[in-house]
Amino acid sequence: MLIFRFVLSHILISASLFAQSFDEEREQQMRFRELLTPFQQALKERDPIQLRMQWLVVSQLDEHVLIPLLDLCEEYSSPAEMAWITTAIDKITSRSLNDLEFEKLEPLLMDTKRSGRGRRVVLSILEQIKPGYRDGFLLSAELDPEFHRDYMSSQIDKAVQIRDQGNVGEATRKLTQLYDRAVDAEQIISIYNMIKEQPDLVSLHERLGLISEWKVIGPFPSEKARGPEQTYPVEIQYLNKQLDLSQSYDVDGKSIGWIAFKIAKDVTSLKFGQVLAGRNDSVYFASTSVHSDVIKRVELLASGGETIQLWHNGVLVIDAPFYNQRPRLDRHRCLVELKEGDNTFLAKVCIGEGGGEGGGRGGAPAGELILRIVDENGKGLILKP
Amino acid sequence: MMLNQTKLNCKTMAIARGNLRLLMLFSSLSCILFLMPTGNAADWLSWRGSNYDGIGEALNLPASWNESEGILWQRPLPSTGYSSPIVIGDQVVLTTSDGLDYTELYVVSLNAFSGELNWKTKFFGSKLPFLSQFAKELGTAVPSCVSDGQNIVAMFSTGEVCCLDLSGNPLWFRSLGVDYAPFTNDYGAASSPVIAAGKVFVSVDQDGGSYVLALSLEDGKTIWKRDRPEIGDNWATPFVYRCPSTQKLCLINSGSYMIECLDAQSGETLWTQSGAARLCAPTPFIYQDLLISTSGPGGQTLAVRLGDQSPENRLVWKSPKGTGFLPSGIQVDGNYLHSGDRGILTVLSLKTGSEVAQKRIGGSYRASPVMADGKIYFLSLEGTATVLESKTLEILGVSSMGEKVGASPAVAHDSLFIRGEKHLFRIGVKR
Repeated sequence: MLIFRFVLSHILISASLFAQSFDEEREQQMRFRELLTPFQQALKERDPIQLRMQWLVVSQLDEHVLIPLLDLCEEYSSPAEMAWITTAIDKITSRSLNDLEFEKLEPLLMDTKRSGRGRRVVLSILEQIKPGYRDGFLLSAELDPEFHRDYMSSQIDKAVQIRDQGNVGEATRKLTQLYDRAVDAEQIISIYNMIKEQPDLVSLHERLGLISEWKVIGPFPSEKARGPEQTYPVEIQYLNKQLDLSQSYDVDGKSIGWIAFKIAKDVTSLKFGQVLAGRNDSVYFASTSVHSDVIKRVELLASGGETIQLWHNGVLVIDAPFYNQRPRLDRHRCLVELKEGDNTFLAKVCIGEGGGEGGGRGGAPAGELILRIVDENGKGLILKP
Repeated sequence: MMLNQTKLNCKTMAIARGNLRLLMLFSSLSCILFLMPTGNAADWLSWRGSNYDGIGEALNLPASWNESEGILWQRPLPSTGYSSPIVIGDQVVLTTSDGLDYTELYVVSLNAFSGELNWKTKFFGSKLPFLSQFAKELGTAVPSCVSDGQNIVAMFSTGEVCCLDLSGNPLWFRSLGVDYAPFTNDYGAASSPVIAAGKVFVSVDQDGGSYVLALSLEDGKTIWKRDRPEIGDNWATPFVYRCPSTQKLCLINSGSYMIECLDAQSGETLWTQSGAARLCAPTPFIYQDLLISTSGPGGQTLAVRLGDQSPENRLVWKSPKGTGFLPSGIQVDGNYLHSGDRGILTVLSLKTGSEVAQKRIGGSYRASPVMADGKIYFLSLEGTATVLESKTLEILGVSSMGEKVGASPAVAHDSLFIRGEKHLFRIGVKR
């Protein structure tokens, strides 16, 4: 009984000490949060004069204010606003590196509910406390929505190192696995370029969900860059579901018709100039159709040089009629619903006039078109014509 | 009598015209000086120097150097970037970027005399969209800093702009990619900000949604924004001057087939001059009452008379000789020297635009030349420094930096500050 009482009293004392220290810590955190109130106020008001004064105060505080500052990162998404917070964090961290508590900071990185940007700030601090920490963290970050790309990038670098050390077979195997798992278009292309000679490799177009088979026609005169605003017979027929891809059109006394075009396997864009006459101040059209087995919500990712307008099943879904655009992956995005059966697309791309005496169109974007279709996770869809 | 009177009138008119030209020249020079930041004469406050002409004050600069002589110090840089260094007092300041998407942004200050790190200010920038032409090895620290001697303004290709004091403490931040639209310059934005008359001018030329901004130097707020939908991607830093005849503060932007002059107070167009190439990276400069602007590829050099001119009288001469894509040119003794991208130095008369000389110096170029101590320094992308005597163009020396050089050098403290791919070098004579 005596021993029982002795043990119980110790347990109670320890519990009360723990509770007391927990309370003290919570009180301390609240005290620091209060200290940050004027800083927070200045951030809300976006007043640079107040901000710089408050920044000077906050950046001189000790490391106990770090977690309240990291919590503040959750409230702001603009890099400009975050910069006030992160530069203060940086000042405190570099002054108090030896006093930072790794165990208290790491959970903030692991919490996937926190903002990606905030988690990256935490990772940066942890890397300063324990150099090399980042590499270890990324090894298990493949499924982390914020750090998936970082994971992939570090794995690609490792595979390249293996290859450079002479173990080409193992590097290729690793890269092929990464190729199947990558979601980011840039990373998919980068890996593909390293292993494209491999037999049985899923094509780049299929991995990206790139639409590679089209019928194209042009050039139609844009008449002093008015192409995007003008309505051409091709568009009228398409919208009236009367588009006949065997039809020809008279343009300045010449007959032009639809030509089949398949994008080459290593290329990601349709270049009109490869099969059609290239001319300044012109309009080109591209038509295609894809089959879907079910009704499906997808994302269209399109781009044109220099302008692009894209219709899906008769509805204008991407309208970017401004000149000087360069074609690049995923420039314009929109969510659409594919219907069960055939889905039609019509793209209209216009090229500008050129610059007169200063130089032709040197460096100007050529007539190009890119369209890819991905699912809700960003994975390319394989949709047949 | 009538004829004599007429002759006298003509002579008087000629004298008057000459005096007017002199007056305009004086006004131009004093207007540029008026606009100049209030730094020390030894400073190099923008990527083209404190006078935006690539000409520095220095003595006893070496014509060549190697590992044992001429390199006063070299310091590894913390991460990547191609911005040019600037010098404010005893600080050399430049920017770098790091991280998977080069969104970790740094403004770095080193001691000009020892190369030791003074301070480093780090913050996070916006992720750029996928840019197919963007060369990853350049990173996003490509626009160069600018200073008025008291404040440092840095801009990054991500769209972030910041103002720091001389200790690296923040004064304001802007995220232009968030405030307006994400930056979409396909090669990466490279135009540097400019400070004049209490404002920071930022030119955002890109493929879709180009604009020019005037920000308050004091708090970074937008004073005016001028949309320029007709403009495509360019990389020229704007040029600011005070018009001698109207006394208006003017801002020059070049590219997309034209030179455009804006009222720096309001952003309204004052005049345009056609004849530039579609793509423009070099920054113009003023020679007497002429604005000299080069653009390429396939472009030309234009000499445009400043002041209140009718469109017919504005263009004084144009020349397709020797134009290149990236480097800006330099003026020496009434001539315009331009290396182009491929190391063929072309010399044009600034009065007439006629070709005076041509000389092959070899190499490919991104950096613009600088002149000081009677020498012109060309830094090639391969890391070769070729030094020419400024009057005779005799090659005085050739040195290897041991690494790529894409940034233009700075001249200060009787030294050159050269930023290589991995190091910052101070070149000079040991005292």
